[in-house]
Amino acid sequence: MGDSVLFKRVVLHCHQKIGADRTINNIYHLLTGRRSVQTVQDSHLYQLQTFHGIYRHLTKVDFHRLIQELKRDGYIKSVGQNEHTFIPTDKADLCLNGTRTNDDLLMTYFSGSEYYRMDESFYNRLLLFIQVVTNQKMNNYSYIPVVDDNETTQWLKRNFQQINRQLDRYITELHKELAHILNHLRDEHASIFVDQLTSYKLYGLSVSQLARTHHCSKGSIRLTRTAVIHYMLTQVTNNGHLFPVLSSFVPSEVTPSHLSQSATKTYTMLKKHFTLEQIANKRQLKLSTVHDHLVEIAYHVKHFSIDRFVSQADQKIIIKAIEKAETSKLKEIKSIVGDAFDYYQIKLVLSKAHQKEVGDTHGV
Amino acid sequence: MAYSEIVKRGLKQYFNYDFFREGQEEIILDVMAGRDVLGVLPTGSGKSLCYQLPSLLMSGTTIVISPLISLMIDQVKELKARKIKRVASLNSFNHYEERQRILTNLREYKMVFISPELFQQQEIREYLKRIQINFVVIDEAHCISQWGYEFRPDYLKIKDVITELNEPPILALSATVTPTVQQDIVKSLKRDRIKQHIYPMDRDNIALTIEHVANDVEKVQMITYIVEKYHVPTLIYFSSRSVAERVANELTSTMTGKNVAYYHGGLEQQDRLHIQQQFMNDQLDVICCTSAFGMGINKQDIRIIIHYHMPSQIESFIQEIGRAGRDGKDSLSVLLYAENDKFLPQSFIEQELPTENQMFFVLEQLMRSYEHGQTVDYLDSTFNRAELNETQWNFLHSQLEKNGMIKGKQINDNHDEWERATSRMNDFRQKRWQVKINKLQELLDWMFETECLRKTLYEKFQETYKEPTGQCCSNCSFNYDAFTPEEKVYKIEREQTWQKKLENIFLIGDDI
Repeated sequence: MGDSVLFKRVVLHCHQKIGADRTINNIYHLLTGRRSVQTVQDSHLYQLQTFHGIYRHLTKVDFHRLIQELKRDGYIKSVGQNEHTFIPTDKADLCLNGTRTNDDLLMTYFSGSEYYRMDESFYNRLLLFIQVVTNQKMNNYSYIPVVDDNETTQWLKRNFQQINRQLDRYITELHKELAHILNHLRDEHASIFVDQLTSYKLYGLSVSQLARTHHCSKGSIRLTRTAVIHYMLTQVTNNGHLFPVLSSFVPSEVTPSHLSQSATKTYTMLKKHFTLEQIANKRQLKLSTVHDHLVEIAYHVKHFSIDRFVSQADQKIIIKAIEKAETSKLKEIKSIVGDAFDYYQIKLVLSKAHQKEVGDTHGV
Repeated sequence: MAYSEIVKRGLKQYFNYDFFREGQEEIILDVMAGRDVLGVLPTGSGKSLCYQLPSLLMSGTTIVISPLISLMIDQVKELKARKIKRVASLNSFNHYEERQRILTNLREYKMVFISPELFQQQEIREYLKRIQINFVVIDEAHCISQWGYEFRPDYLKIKDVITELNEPPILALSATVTPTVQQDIVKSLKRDRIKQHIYPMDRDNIALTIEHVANDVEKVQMITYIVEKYHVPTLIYFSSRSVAERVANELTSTMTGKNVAYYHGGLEQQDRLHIQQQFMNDQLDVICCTSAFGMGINKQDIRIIIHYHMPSQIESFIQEIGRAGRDGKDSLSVLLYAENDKFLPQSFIEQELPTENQMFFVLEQLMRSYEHGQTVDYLDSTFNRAELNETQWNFLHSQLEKNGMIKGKQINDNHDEWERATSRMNDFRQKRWQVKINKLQELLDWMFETECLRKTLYEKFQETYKEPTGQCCSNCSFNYDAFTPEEKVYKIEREQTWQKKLENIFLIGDDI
């Protein structure tokens, strides 16, 4: 497999984890990083957090085209009545677990939920910064910026007013830092990354151009880029002192991990000891929406106690039911515990059970 | 200080040029004096400078009405690259917040680009009324004329809005227009004392050639011959996106050492910017493109323009070849023609106008809606059923409005009027159809011309033409070997390692 088929492998991988539990639309939501409770929860349930939101600009059309291809080539087959539910075939198994390819390495770089949206800002900052310092170095002040979104432009203005005084330092240091990180990657991946950078009178290749020169799909190029950025972010955040310039490009996250805005508001009110009903009333939301927020918070905020909403005794009952059901499917769990509990309470317990698992494996 | 002194200084200060090109100064001085102006300047002669400079020198805000969003966005980017920051564009791509920010700070801007649709919007008109407008630019003013090749119904309403804004001076600009269309523009603007600056549009440094070939295979062979022979920036025009892509891929695989890209309206914003800028910075030799490429591109040394497909009228052809040789050096236009090509533009024309059947279907629906007491909202959904595309629907909708059959959301209740209106609409539809077919025929006739191509190409627009600086045309014994443009050295070395490329990016090592 000379060609990069990263996009295919990513989808197959997700598919294999999820099996026939969910429809393919859930994979789409996962990759595009939908912030619904269901999607966030699924990513934890199936241990796919690292894939959450790694392909935010994926269109439905492109996704379904890929699914059709996978079906045609016998990687997946439909199950049951639902035309949106598939299971991976043996061929998919072979593809994922057979010969190791460069793509396997890339797949380990993803940290989707951790760098949710940060990756994009980081990449934009890096792109613009290189273009600005190199042009200023050559005394060229008339060029069209590769990135012109307000956030990035403002960031540059705020943080680098005196950029001119240290041009040489920035240029040498940033080159050194990038070379250092890229050296740890396969040449092919480093090359794809470098080809996208824009400098003085030298514009980077676009995604479609890269796809053509590397004989692979645009999806694979985009995912390669994201994987490299995630790798970079991991290196930079773990060893900040080695990468002073790149570190200054890492956006600081203010909200607790990655809560949606609305859930953040709910979270703030919870901390002020409002009850769920009061929050729903005050914010003119349905109670079920507040329940959804609660579950989202439980997944994302470490050490968030759910005892206020499900007593410890009740938690035990639900945990037993989960063990008995041997599945994470809510319906089956609910049928065991009966009407005594609400769905959201089961979801809350699931979230904590899951965090424990993750915690345990990390402990090893 | 005299105006002529002020504009010269401004030219140096803002654009770093020492001299005006033909026509620019005359137009600018009239604009500065507050006169209404019609400026007709050939493509590539710096039309936009005619409003940019006075706008920067005068107080108040200039409104620039421009029909193409991508062109608008490009112009704003280019101005910002020149450190002219107080410019903005209002178009359907704006995010809500962005638009509000622009509207509430409207008076802070020197130039505001706007689409004709938004220019008419009630809300935006209210904002426009509150600021001091120094003059209004109508770019691509030929869109106002029903005799032109690119009539846009929205352009007809521009004048009413200008009246509502208390009649600021107008600068109407266009490249390729016949005298009939010029008169039509003047008439529609209702400004009797408008100053007309009309300049000849023939380009003496572009040799004109037409190659009659048997089929598409021979077209690609011809292109390969040309691209291999000359190492110069080259544009190849197509009327189809997919063919542009296909040929670009074919050229990439058959010609090593050439950087070929494609460009069309279906590309993502980011792709467009990259391809444009790579071409500007000599990283690409050849671009296979549709007419979407070129309008915002200010590249001086494009040397060869090839038409893989012919456009649908002479005006577009003149504009497209006009992108060659802006630096005045000898350049070349090659129009490739295979027998079946004439059907292509014909099908485009069909897509621009509704058929008679479609028109009657919509009218029938309209009548029924009226009887059921429904409004036009309902009608909007019928255009799908009549299988009208957007251009066709816009045409119909504006005709319905113009003939008083609908007003806003309401359907007119005067039934007696309907019959007359229907026949008026149908007449108009046929008239537009005929205009377009005639335009196409003009171009076809020219392509089979045996006389000098230069003389015959421009004779509809002007009486004389300049002597060519290099070779004239394929009917005046053009010879490829005698066309010897200066070769361009391209900077891309594909086979470099990424380490080396990264050094280049950071300006390290030997000179690039």
